[in-house]
This record gives sequence, C-alpha cells and structure tokens, in this order.
Amino acid sequence: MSAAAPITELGERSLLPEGTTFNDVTEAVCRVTETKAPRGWWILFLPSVGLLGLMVACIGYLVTMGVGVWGNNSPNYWAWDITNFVWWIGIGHAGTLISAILFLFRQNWRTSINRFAEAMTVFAVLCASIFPALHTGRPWFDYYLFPIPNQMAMWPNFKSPLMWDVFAVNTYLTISVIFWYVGLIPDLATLRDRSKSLLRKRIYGALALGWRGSHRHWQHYERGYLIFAAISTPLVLSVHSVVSFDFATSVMPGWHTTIFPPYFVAGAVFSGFALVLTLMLIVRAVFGLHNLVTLKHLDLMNKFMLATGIMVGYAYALEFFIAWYSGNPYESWVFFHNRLGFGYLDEMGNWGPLWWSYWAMVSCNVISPQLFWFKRIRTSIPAMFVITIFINIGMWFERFVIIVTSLYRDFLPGSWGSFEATWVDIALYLGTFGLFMTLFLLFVRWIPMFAIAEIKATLPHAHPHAEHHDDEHEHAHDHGAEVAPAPAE
Amino acid sequence: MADDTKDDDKPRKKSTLLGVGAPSAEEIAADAAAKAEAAADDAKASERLAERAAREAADDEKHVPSKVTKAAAGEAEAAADEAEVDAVKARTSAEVAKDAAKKAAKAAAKGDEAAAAAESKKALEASERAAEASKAAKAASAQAIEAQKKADAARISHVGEGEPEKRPALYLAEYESPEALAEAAKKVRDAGYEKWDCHTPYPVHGLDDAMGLPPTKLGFVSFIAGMVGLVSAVLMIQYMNNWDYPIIIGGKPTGIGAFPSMVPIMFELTILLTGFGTLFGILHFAKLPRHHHPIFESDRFEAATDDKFFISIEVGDQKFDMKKTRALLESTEPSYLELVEEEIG
Repeated sequence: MSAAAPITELGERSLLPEGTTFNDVTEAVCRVTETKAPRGWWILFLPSVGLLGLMVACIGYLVTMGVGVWGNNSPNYWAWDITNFVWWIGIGHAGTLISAILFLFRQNWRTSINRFAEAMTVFAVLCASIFPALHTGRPWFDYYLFPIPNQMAMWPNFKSPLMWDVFAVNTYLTISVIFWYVGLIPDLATLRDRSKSLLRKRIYGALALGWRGSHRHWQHYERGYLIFAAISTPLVLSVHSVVSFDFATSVMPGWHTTIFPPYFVAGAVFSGFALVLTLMLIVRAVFGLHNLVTLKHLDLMNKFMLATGIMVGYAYALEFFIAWYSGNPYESWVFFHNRLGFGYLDEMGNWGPLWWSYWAMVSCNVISPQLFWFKRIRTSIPAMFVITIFINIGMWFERFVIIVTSLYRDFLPGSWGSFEATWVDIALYLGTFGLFMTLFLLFVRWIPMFAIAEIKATLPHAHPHAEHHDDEHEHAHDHGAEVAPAPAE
Repeated sequence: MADDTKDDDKPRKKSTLLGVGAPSAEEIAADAAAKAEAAADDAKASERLAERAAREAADDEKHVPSKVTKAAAGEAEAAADEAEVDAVKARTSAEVAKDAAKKAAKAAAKGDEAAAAAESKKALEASERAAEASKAAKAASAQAIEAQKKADAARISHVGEGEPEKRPALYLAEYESPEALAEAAKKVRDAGYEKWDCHTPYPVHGLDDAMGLPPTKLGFVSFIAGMVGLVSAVLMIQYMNNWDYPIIIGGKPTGIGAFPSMVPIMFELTILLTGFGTLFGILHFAKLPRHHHPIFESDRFEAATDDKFFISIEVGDQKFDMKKTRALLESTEPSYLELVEEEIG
C-alpha cells in the first residue's frame, strides 16, 4: 500500500475528497450501525424476510415431495438447480477478486468496496450450496459427500469432479469467512471503542478479540493479510475452474471444451462485479455514503465489467468457431441448432425452441456492457444500475444456456425433449434472494460495511514520509520516487 | 496486639500437670473440673480475639475493596466462627466436668468409692475434651489473626498512592500524527526499551524500522500448515480410494496411480490448511484473544482505533523508571501523557 499517494503527474487525484480526516472515515462508517435504520432499509428488509420464508417453505415442500417437484426430467437432469448454483458461486467471485487480487496489485480503490464484496461472497456461496445439497435428492444423506466413515464402509470417489467441487466450494466458503473476519477485527475494535451501551461493548468487544491496534500485532496481521490474499487468488481461480470441470470433464457436446475454466472464471468475475455494483448503488443511496464510494470507484468497476464482458464475449465467439472449425457434427448441432437457432434445422425444419435464451445471454452480456466504453455511461448512476441488472440476468442465462441447451436436444430419440421450469424452481430461486438479501441487510446494519482501517491507510497523510516533509518541493519529489517502483517497500 | 495474646496464652496451658502424691477420686474430679473451667475461659478469650480480628479485617475490606482484602476478611470471619463453636464446646465440656466433680464429691461423702472413681473418670474425660476445644479455639483465633494481618498489610500497602486498589502498569503517550509517532518511536527504541508498543488505527508503514522489530515468522507457520494440507490430501485419497477400499473403474486405479485426478483436492486442502495456519498463527504471535489489558483502563485510548496514535511503555520493562521514562516521553512532545494504572488481583 506504499503507492497510496496519487501520481499527480498523471492527473491522478486522491480517492476520497480532499481533506478527509481519519475521524471522518470512522464516523461515516460507524454511524450506519449506531443510528436507527433508515426507512429504505426496512423497505428492503421486510420483503427479503418474506422471500426467505418462501425459500424455507419451498425447501420443506421439496424435501417432503422429492426433487420431482422441480422441472428437471429426461433429458434435462440438470437445469435450474445447477444454473442457480453456478450463478450464485460466480457472484461470490467478485468479492474474492476485489479483496485478494486487487490487494496483490495494490489497487487502493478496492478499500471502499472490499468488505462489502467479501460479505457478498460469503452469502452468495451459502445460497449456492443449497442447490446441489437439495439436488442429491435425499439431502439427509449429504454427509456421504464428506470423507467421513459411514455405515456402508464406503469412501467418496475422489476421481469425480463433483467431489472436487465439494472440496473447492467448502474450502472457498471457509477461507472467505476467515479472510472476512480477519479483516473485520480492527474495525470491530473501532465499534467496541465507540460503544455507548454495555451490550454493544460486550458483543463487539468479544468479537474484536481484545484488539488494541498494537503495531507488534499489525506486523503479523499485515503479513497474514498478504498470505490470505496470496492463497485466495489461486483459490478463486480454482473454484470456478473446478465448477467448470463438472461440465468440461464430461463428453457432452457443448460442455466438453478446454476453454471452460478461464471462461467460467471471467464470467464469474463479470457477474460478481455486476451484483456488487447493483447492491452498492442501493446501499450508497439508502445510507448516504457518497463520499466513501465515489463516482471514481464506480467508474473503475464499470471498466472492470467492460473488460470481463469482452472476455466472456470472446469465449462465446470462440466456442462457435471451434464448433465450426472442428467439423464435428455433434458439436455444431449443439451450438448452431440448440443455441443459435441458425444453420442447423431439425427434420421438421425447426430451430431449437430455446434459441431465445441464447440471444438473451448475448444481448445482456456482450452487447449491453459495450455502453461502458463511454465515460458518460460509466459515470451515470441510472445507466449503470440498469446495465448491471442486465448483466445479472445475462449471466444467469449463460449458465442456463450451457446446461439446458446442451441437454435438451440430444442424440438419441429418448433424449429429445424440452425444458419447462415449475413454480418450485422459480420460487426457490427467488427464495435464495431472500436469504441473500436478509443476511446482506443484517450485515450492512450491524457490521462496518467498509474496511475502516484500510480506508484510513489509503488517505494521503496516512504514512510518515521521508525526512523532509516540511519542504513542499522535496515532498512532491519524494512522491514521484516513492510511487514509481511499486514493490520497493 | 495479636502476638501478645498468643504469648500470654502459652504459660496458662502448662498448668495441666497433676499435683504431687496420690490424690483421692474426689480431688482428681475437682481438679479436672477446675481445669475444664479454665480451658473454657481460654476458649472464650480466643473466640473474642478471633471476633475482633474478623471485625478489623472486614473494616480493611470496606476501606480498600480488593480481591486480597476480601479473601482475608472472609478467612478471618470463617476462623472466628470456628472459634465460637469451639468455645461453646469447651464451655459444655466444662459444665459436664463440674457436674461430675460434684457427683464425685457426693459419692465420696457417702463412702461409695467406686461411684466416686467413675464420676472422677468422667470429669477427667470432660476436662480433656474442654482442653481440646480450647486448643482448637486458640488455633482458629490464631488463624483469624493471621488473616487480619494479611488484610492489614494489603490495606497499608495501598495507602498513600491516591487510588489504593491500583498499581502503575504503563505510560501512555498520545500523538496527533503518524510522523510524530514514528519520531517518538525511534527515540524509545534508541533508549533501549523492550516492553513497549505503538498503537495505531491502521498499520502505519515504516514503524517496523522505527520500532526495530524483527521480521515476522508468520510465513513459516503458514507454509508448514499448507504442506501438512498437501500431504494429508495425498494420504487421504490414497488410503480411502486405494488401500482401504480400492475403487477401480474401467481397470484404472484411483489415488497416486491416477495422479492428475488428485490435484484439485491436493490444492484445495493446501489452501484450506494454509488459511487455518495463518489465522491461528496471527492469533498466536499477537497473543490474542486477550480481552483484558491495563491499557484499556485509559479513556483516551479509545481513540487508538479512531484517529490518534499512541506509544505505551510497560512497567515490566527492565529500563522502566517512573521519572526517567516520563522524561523520555515528554521529550517526544506527546499531545497527552498518562500513567495508566491497573487494578490489582
């Protein structure tokens, strides 16, 4: 974080408004947890709890009746459930990317959004894990997934990509929670020290572990934070790669491609950024945090979405190219008939009936982010709000397209079908939004949603400069020397 | 005062020696009764002393409430209660002895030698019991006095420091800016202190050098934990899918024989255990969680997690000196300087 100072020669300015003091940051962040919830919070919270109730009811119904209440049926044994799983896991990836990868690249602007995004990671992974857990059919036997002795004296098959998924997702959840909590310790101490009531002091005090800002602790803490970032970076890349192995290691045309791991990771980051931004815009308006999340932050996030959107678009294009270039009729069938709805017609002269889902995906994911080339769009809050929602929808369709359109018109007469979602599919998906939003709103309300200590460390006067800090000219010179070779310290 | 009574008690006890010659049963009984009476009186005196000690210890506790005085007062009171019970026992035994002596005298007057002898034996036994009870009362009283002395000592040691239940723990100096803190840290480092610390709302860079801290060893812990994860993944898969219950599909082995399929789980477990190793490593090196620290006694210190910068020097440091350390910290021009005291016990 030694590159905290803006490079004035390049026209960079401070991330936060000039003259922001340490106390301003503390006040702005802590105030949210110390004052009454604004009306907007309740307007969001009550429907969220309602949706959470819907989720619980759906799970109860599904467990009682069996997975047949979903629309999954031959040939679509995977459908909304796995779509939702992959979608939610992908949402989580933005959090780790922001907290870990941007940390390693010393992108200080991340400090305004990382806590927020990390919380989303944890909640999104929780939502995601519901679907495969239910999809096993008898969720009360889900402990077979773990390598623990059971009454059949059988161990899991570690050659199965689904087993890798169990390990990847659980590791991801665990490490995300630890990373999040370690980052929270100093900020919980801040809340503890500001507490007026004994109860608050006790709760935040217990969670803060007796943190006293000791530099002897900071020294280990910072190294630990670096290690967490260093292990989370390959972890986040591995998780969606492993998720993509669920598809890529099969021999299904449409799934069996080597491009899947990077393509899935890019898509995950893309969708995650979109949801972070959607929620960020809402929370920023509800709690009036415009000084902590500035247009500059939003602009940078939009650039990220533009970049990852292009990567995703490239992957879509390349899949088609390979389908054509390989000369493999089955591969071409899946892409041109099942998805694109062009070129390959069936014997009745029809296109695949779900062609529209492919086009929904392309228009949301590839076309709509192109608007971010324009600075006016990148800095327009209504525009970016709409585009992020489009991206969220598009990324859901991406997983739907990959899963369902590869399966619904297969190569045996018995594998010729279509897919229709049932009300349980829809209600359970909506219900997981209830879980996500309930947890998220509770987090926003009770836990510092910005990394207070990290934001303070990025303020221009946060670190003692070299000897001559009285002399303005020398001072500017120091900055230049300090900033240029970033890893110098 | 307490010591005097102890010494006074001793010579009286020696009076249990029997007289010369061959005394009659009546005489023996009378003698025993007298001794029992004396023992009961002694026990009563012990009881009074114990009670007084307990009262004084309670008084100490009231003036200087602390764990030490509280414990001492409790001890003194318990001992006083014991002494009281013993005194009652001694008095009862004395009554029995007196009664027996009277009966012995009557029997002797009637010329019933056997009855007189029996009564005299009873009186002797009762007297013995009284003596024992008296001894116990004395011991209890000594205990009470001992406890009271402790309470006194605890009280006296606190008088003259203003707030008697506390003792100095550390000096706390507050600074407005990270620059001032870093300058001050260098001075403290150069003065050779070891048990001292900087407290900042965020990690201030350059303080490692300013404080002269050696580099952290956390990386080793994380690395070893990660390697444990890697090895345990290999062993787990090899054991479960190859040794204990071989899963052979299409004639192909699982485990090390199919190495690439192990890689994802090897990787995940490495990451998982590195994460745990790092978390517990941080907690270990930082000696957290620790919810009680004398530094929290200072109200000013609450700003350490907001916008102020602090240096603390602990009393336990070899070089700590009330005056010199204060002078050193004053020379660094802190915006505030405080001697933080901690509660004892």
